[in-house]
Amino acid sequence: MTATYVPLWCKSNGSFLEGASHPEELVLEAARFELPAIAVTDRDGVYGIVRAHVTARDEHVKLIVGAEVTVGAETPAETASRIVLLAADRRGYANLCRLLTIGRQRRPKGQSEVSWSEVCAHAEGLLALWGGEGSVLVRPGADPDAIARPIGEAFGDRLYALAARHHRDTEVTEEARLRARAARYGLPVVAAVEVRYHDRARRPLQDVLTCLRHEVTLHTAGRRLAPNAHHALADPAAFAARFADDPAAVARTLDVAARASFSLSELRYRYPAERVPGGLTSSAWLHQLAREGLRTRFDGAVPASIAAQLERELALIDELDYGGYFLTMYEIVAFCRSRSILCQGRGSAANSIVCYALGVTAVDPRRIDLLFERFLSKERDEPPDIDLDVMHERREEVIQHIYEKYGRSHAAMVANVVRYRPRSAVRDVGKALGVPATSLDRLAKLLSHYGEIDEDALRHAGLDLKAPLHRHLVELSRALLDAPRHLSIHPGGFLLGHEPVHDLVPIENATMEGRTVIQWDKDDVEAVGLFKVDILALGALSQLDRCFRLIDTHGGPHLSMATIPEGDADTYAMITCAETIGVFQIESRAQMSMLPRLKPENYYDLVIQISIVRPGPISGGMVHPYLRRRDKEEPVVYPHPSLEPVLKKTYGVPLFQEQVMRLAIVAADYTPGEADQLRRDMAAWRRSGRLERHRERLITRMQAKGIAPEFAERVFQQIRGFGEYGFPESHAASFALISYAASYLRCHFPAAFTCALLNAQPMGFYSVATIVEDAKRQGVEMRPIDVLMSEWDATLEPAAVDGDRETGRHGGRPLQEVGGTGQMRETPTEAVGASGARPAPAVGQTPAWAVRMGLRFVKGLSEAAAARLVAARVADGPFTSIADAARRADLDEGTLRRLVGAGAFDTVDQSRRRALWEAPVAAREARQPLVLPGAEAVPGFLPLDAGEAVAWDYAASLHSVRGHPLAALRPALRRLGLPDARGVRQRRPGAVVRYAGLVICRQRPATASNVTFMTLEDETGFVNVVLWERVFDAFPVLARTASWLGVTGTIESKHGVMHLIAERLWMPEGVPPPDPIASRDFR
Amino acid sequence: MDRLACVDVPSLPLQLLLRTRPAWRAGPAAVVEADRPQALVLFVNAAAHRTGVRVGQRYAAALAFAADLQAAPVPASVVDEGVGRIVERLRRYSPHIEPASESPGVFWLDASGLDRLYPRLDDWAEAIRADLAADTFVARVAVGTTRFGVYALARSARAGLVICADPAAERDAVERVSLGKLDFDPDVLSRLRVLGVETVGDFLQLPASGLAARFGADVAAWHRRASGVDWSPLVPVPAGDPLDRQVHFDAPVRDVDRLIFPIKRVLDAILVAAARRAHAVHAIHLTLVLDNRTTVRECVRPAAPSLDAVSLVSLVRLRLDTLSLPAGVVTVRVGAGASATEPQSGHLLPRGMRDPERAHRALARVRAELGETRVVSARLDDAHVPALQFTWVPCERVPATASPRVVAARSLVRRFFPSPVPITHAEAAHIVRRMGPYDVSSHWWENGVSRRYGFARTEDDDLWWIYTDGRAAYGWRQGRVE
Repeated sequence: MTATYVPLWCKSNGSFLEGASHPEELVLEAARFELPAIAVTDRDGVYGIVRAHVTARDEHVKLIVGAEVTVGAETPAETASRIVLLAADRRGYANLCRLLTIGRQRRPKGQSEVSWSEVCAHAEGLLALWGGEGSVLVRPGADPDAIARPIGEAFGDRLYALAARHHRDTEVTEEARLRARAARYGLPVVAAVEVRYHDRARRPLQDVLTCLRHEVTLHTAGRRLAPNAHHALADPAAFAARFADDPAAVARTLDVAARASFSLSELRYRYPAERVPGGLTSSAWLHQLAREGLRTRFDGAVPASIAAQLERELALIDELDYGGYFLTMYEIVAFCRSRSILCQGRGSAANSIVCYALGVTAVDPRRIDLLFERFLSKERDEPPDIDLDVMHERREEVIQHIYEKYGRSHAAMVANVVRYRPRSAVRDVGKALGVPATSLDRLAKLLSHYGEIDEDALRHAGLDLKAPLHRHLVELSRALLDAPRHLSIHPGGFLLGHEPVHDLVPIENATMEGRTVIQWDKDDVEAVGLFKVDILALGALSQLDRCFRLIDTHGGPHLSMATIPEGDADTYAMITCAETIGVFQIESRAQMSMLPRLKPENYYDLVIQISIVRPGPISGGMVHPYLRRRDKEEPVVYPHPSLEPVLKKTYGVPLFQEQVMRLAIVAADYTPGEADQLRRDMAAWRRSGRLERHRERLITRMQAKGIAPEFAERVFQQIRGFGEYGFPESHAASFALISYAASYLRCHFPAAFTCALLNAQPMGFYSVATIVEDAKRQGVEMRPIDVLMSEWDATLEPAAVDGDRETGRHGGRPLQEVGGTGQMRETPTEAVGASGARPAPAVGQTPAWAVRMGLRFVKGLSEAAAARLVAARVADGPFTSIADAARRADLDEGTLRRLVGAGAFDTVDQSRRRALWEAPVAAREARQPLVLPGAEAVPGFLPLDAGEAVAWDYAASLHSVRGHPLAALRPALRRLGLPDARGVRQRRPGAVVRYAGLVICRQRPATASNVTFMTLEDETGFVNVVLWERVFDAFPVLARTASWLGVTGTIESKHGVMHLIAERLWMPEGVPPPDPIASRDFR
Repeated sequence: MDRLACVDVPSLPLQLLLRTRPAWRAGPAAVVEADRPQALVLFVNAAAHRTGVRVGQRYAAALAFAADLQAAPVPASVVDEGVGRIVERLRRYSPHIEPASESPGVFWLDASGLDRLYPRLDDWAEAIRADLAADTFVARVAVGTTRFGVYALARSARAGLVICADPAAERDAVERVSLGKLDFDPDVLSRLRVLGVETVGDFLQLPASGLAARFGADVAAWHRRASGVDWSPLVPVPAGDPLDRQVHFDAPVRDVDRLIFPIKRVLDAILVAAARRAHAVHAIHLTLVLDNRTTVRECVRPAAPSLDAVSLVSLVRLRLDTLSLPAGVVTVRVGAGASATEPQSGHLLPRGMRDPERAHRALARVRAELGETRVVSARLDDAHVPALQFTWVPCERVPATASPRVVAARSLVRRFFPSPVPITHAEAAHIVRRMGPYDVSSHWWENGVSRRYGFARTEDDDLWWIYTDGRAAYGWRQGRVE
């Protein structure tokens, strides 16, 4: 038998832009060669070791954890060197992580450097392999004495001379030098290859990565590229042959491997202990808080079943020792409350009564039956996962609070590894190959964001697949897919530790100021049993917070998430009419189409609504059966009596991820742990095909329980569908609270809701123009940007009185009491059908509010200039002219032009053209100490007509409260026989209609079989257009790009939802094209 | 009445691009400012325009409109060359041509005094258009009386030709021209449009002083030109003063002495012409037309640009002496490459032991005698394959100073053979020891090189530098070690 060996110096693609193989590939190749162990030693990091660890555990290969560490030059004359460090034990691993943290935090992102003295200071528990190209030990003329002595003393017999052979021309002399010096210092020589890829076929990819790292092309890379392909993982025979003259050095690899006994499974994680009142343990403090919290939640009358469930949860939390985690979440939520930062827990935490009692989540367990095992299970022995949504604009305060409370050494953010996708792979490989950038851009645009690199796209881009250059481009881009590109920050994941985090994993600087990040992503963190705290930003909470404050400060009731009245009939009536623009989660075109069919009447209907319009239920074929059963159009049947409790609340149709897990437990006898694994595999099935291994098990076991094979197969297909994007009930339950709150505010406080929504932009699905038009249709008086009135944000102003109405202005709605609650709301108006216009609102005696658009909506206007303008107005009164404003607020020409363009000076000078002509001179003279009165003749300019005024508004602020761009064109459109949206809605199903409108939204969901949905708008509302693939292909340019579009199609209407099924697209002729609304395309 | 004409070759850079890439004409094509996705689109063809691609978009954005949009940058040198080419063609129709310096593709021509050749100006203009079309350039021509007028009319000529005989009619026509047709800065144009200023007539309604204050001096200058306040005469480009001459022989000449005297005579004339331009000759191009209808071309370069006839003639003579002509010479064409001279003051300084000028002169004589490519030096290249680690490049100048490396002990030296030599069976038998190997496998993206290098000691104690690559049974000798 051939003597074996252990590769001790292997870099995975976790060595960014250097290693060309995934860590799993290295381990699998080692297993194929029957190597007893393999070391993964990424450059200045441990990026690849978790993936390697998981694979090594499955393949029964020992993983040696280490890193190649860059050591800075001691003197200016020297160059940087490197040393390979392997963890012999837990202490050594901690030292390695600390050393890498020092190196990374000292240098800019992407670089690392430690000193020899720091290496020596962290030597305990580490094995050191010293050598390799460029090392002091092999460099001619270098004197390694100054280094050899201290590291010899620090490492003792754990220091080895590394003889690496790659058949380079200078290697023979370098190795001779290394051996001589090793002999001088008494270092044993160990054989190695610097492995950069698992198979020599990856050598071209490694060359490309080298080019990318050095920002050169293959033609100019020269000796930055390796001279040959001898950096592959060698099989034992080849390795022995390469070191045939020194078998002892080969055998010594086994000795080193035996000494490197540390495994990642040794990591023991302790959650940081929270400060608790004297005399209490963490557990007792948690129990006390939870019980008190629950009593508060239920006003002292806690139902027995809820109390019992709380005790069960607390017992399990004690048993698993997760008390600290819950206390941390409690502390963060308490911090948010103390600072009036709106937050709400979601995710599987919503399944927990403890979380509800602590105020972390807000889903009342009486309102919904959730699966606690989805959150925490003893069998699974996995950390809980609590996602805390925090209002978008104040999340950074929470993040900095966590850093401050736990310290930089005990808190760091989880990384997000940005990986190569088709577009980025093609761009980078092409750059290295020297393909023209414009060709690459054309190709990249034809590729999908995810998935494979399609050869058809290359052909369409005009590339010749027979040309060697283009073949290399395809093959190497495919090989590069999924390789790490660089590290970024997880949206909100924090790793907190009782012990310093840098003993678990190195911490490095993030690009963003004030952030530090660990070297593992969330999957790695989860795989090694650590747990993170997720602090996520949610724009909808910002919007709600703004709305609550607006209502409060304008004489309305003091509302909060907790005090919004439940089950408001008007609110549900509005939701059923699909009047949901600006409402979190139920405002998309698809959601709005579903609302009139589902007709939500209560909170749980809203949970269903949020969950059902998802790729999972859609591709699983669950939507229509659910609706038919709900409408009693077909009987509710269960495939097996045992499944009735699982599927009863959704009429026998699985809609939630939790139901699929329960279904597996009940129907296929899955353990909760197996069910959770199923959940993970569902999420990853497309990437790894791991779901297939459940197929046989699920179907066989279901059949064994008497479930028909067809149903078993259908259930499996549904599970696959969930893999696309299944939605957990617990998520939907938390989101539904926010959706309801937003809907309530939209229904009863439309002016405040609109104002808050505008100020929270950018967020949601719709542009400012669409929000403004929608508010006008609700009867909200929208007022234009005005230098005499506007603040930076949109504001509320008292609405017009009757006299003003007669001049054409529309008032807002007055406040009235909310049914017996003592709270006030704006007077509701009559609910109308989807997108229909409302009648003019009634005017009451209480004040009503109009929305004044803010200066923030003027394109390109700086906040500083706006602040000067407002301050000058407040200080010295209204502006009398454009020159007056320029002088008092120190406005430059560009600012004046922007403001004039948006009509903000209309109340100062009614001629925008004249104001525009004056703006440059006004700006210049504002900065001159002495201006002599001039007698410049002012040319006569044509005044703007109504259509032009709207067009100018759109050009300068992307919206207009003065009118819709199509209103001015309506007579011309009418002459062409084209109806408005209201007219289209009045047509009967089956009628053929020609319609023209502005495209405000295009969507092409992956689940829609290449069907494209467009929403067209005019001054009277929306028309939903459906484009089948053949129509899209027949009119690709118009379908993809036109913002002003004519459609000929057939009306289809069902369940109150109307669509125009397009047959032909055209560009309306005979009318000038209006200035377009910015369309939100393909989001 | 003086007549002026303007020839507009619209989107000249795009026309030049499509001349070199005719396959792109069928689909959407554009000129971009640089070869990068975020480069601005500068010119588009009709097919691209139909899809929604517009000038001023980023190339990356334009692809959203036309996924098959082909684009490339056109360097300024190519545009200059194109302008020069068109100027030369236009010389057939007018002696005075002024290309617009800031609008490549616009040319003003003096159209006066052409009545005898072209009784009708329409014919003259049409001839220009047809001539440019024959060279694949699309052009529009306007004839009138004012510089701005013909420019504006050419830019807006839908039918391709505009002839304005009457100044009043010309003024009326110009006032109707849309400002968008002219080369206004796009930002200025959009600012004027929002003021409701769409045509030249609207523009002329604005006060010139107000324009200067608001839009800057350039726009005010446009106003003065359009209103006729500013007038500038035509500044024609001078026709090239030829620096070439030729000599015809009544009978074929083989004797160098008989060749050299007429060459010297024409060279003297060329040097005078060059001196008039303040130029000096840096190359002499000789074209010898032989009696057997073949042509021999030679180039001789002095050590530095020179007007010294004696040294130049001596270099020509050296070159002619090396030629072995198969037939007698019937015509000699002598052309000179000349460049502007720079003031020299080096001769005022004391000279050291090294005299680089002498070295340069010596190299020039070697080049003249042995050929242009015979004086070379090695340029080191960054590559793994030994044969690619250097390139011989022509040596133009010797270094001003020498910095010889002090070698303490002479080390082994690898001598490259001019080309690798296959090792024979007999030679292989003499090898007693091999050292190595080291491997070089490189350039997989092209044809690929894969060699296993090493050293071989022979029975005679020679040390060979060898490699194997599977193409020769016993490998190759790359060189030897001394």
